[in-house]
Amino acid sequence: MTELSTATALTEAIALAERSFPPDDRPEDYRLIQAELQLGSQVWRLTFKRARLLPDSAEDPIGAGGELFFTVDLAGRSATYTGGE
Amino acid sequence: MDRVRAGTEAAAEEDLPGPWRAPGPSVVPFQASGRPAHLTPAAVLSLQGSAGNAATSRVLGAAEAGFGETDPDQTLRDEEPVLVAAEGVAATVSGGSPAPVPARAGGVTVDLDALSAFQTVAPGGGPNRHNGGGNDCTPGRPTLTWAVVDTGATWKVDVTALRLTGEMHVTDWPSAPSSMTVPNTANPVDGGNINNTAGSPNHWQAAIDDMTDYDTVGGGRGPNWHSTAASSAHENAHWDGDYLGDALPAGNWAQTNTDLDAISIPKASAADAAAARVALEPLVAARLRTFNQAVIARWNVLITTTDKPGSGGRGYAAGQAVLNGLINGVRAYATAKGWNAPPAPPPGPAPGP
Repeated sequence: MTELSTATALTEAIALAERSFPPDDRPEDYRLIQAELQLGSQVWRLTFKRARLLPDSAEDPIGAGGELFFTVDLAGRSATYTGGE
Repeated sequence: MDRVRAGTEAAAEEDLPGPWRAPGPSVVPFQASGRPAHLTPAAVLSLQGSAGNAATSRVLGAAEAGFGETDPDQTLRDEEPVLVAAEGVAATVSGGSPAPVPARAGGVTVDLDALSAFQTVAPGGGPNRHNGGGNDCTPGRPTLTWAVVDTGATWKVDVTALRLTGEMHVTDWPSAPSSMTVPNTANPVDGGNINNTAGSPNHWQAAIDDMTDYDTVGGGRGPNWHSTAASSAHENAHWDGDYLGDALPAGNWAQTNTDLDAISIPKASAADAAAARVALEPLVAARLRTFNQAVIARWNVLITTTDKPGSGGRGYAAGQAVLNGLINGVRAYATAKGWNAPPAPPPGPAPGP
């Protein structure tokens, strides 16, 4: 596979994940809060969290739960997830 | 009877019970003749609860026996008023009049409300619970209720309630006990939803595997096997353990309450209680903000560092405990059915001639 820039690879990983969201969840209701490349692979671990649980300021509490943990394999063009709560 | 307490915030929904809150009026106000007021036996009991036995005895001037004598009978007959002597009384109001009554030489009165003021209140309240909308828990900003007290020389803050709040969502996980479908909640019985079909998402081992990694790194709530009870345990662990048991103590409410009750301004600096409240408000808000900041800071640390599968968080631990029960049930069922019996050992070498 042609070597991708980080920006391109991450963007594709995010797109793959968003296309694999659970049926009852909309990508626009979530925010990406963590992205991690597994060393030596084209596998990204992405964490999305419900936007309403993210605080507006440091003095506000973050909501516990509401995550979607994705494992995205760019080489295999696949994205699987587990849920946070 | 009521002391000068004005500018109280809208009453909290919960009226905090407990010995620190005196019951309704139980003091007979001053008579016009100057005869002393009295306490009913019920009021004495309330006084004991608020001020303790030693203080109560001093106030009542309980009779003691002389050396060698038998203790006098100090039994109170029901409804018989008890003469009370008191010193150092806060501002008092007789009858329904808002006008303070000056202390009279030789007169006695006891303000039960004054005795119970400025005591630590226990936080009350809880989260608003929603069925659906995801699985999450977020504490809200507590609501403080406080009164302005006229101590004679100052206008003083008296905290009367701290109401906790928050939002909790728990969404039902599918449960089709007799259907070989997923997502599902395990029902490992004959006619249930667990089988031994290779490749089936309802295969007993697949169900176990999906639930086992809930609280392991890279795990989480799997796509096929989970339970509403596990989600509920998870979110309630956030509220009970992370918030009430960890974050709230980080704010040290007892000290905060004490500090708030110590806030005062000179009597002369405000014309009345309403004006005093305006002046006291920013001082109260500042101290409460310190409390809230400490609580939220601790909460955010807990959630951002531990609330992930395999990271030692209370929520995932609580959910896993529930799932372990289901896992054990599935395994036991598979064992009973002979599905997970260890494979037979290979035949040994043929015996020699």
